[in-house]
Amino acid sequence: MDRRWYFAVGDFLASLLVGIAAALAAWAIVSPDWNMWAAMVLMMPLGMIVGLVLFFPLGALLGAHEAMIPAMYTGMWAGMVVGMMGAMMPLPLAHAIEIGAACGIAEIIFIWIVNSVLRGKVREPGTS
Amino acid sequence: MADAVTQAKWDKLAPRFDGMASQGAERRWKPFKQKLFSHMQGKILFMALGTGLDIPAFPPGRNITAIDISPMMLAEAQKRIAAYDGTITAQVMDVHDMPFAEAGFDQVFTSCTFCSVPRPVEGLKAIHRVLKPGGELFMFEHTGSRLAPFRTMMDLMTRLSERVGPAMNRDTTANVRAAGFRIIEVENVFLDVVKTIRAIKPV
Repeated sequence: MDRRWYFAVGDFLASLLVGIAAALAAWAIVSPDWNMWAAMVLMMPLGMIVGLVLFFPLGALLGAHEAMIPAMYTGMWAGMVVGMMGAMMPLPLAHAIEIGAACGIAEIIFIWIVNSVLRGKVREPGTS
Repeated sequence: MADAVTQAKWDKLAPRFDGMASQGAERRWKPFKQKLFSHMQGKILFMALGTGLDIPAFPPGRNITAIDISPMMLAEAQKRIAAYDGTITAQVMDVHDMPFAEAGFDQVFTSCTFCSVPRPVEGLKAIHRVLKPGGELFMFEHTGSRLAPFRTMMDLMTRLSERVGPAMNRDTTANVRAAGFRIIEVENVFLDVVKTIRAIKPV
């Protein structure tokens, strides 16, 4: 996690935004007459496309890689989960937004944890 | 002779480049670049100066030879070159085809360069040639990831990104080694994707 406020808050809000946007896209398309597996499989790439579209403005503000990786994964998860739930039952809009937000928060926390493990000096083969 | 396809790609991107990279990426990466560039001493070659976004992170008072394949990028860099408290001599040049004398530089610096060089190992071998024995290579680069979920995503993104700009999935650390350098230090800045690499040309 970047300890500078601009980036910490920015990364969090960006992931939240992508999660909600991907969830809304999946919610608008999937209905209970869909096959659940088809909904999951199709809404994953849709969520990634939503993440990719939002990556362009977010990347300019937050840095390309720091925006792209969480955006693509958040979009994928939010699209898949909302697609699955929307195919299983009538899903209220508010519930879809909550799921999208939860996916965004979970993803950025995951990225922060992995980053805290990976960042810093590493031993490479042949490093003296 | 510069690679015309690569040159045209970066010429096209030049007017919009600062809008894409000057806020988020540069603000986020500046402390890490300042730390890396603080090692600048002796006869210095800077690869792919671009629009000069890295110049504010240079320590003052250095005499730097810089190259870039894109004349449009270097035209955008002129204000930053003029504002630098030191000397930067910028030339349009392809890393694969540098006319510099063998073993002429003490240090070479790169910044988000080897995501875009079409033949990265050959480019690094060209740097190896112009560095003095014992000379150092300092890199700030983004690379592919060794972690499967990130690697898959970056492989996918590279199919798109390579058409307009850089590749996202290169193993630059391995390429540095393949070009004949000895790796001294690798430090991850973001995940195992954005990193600094310090290498030496063995004596």
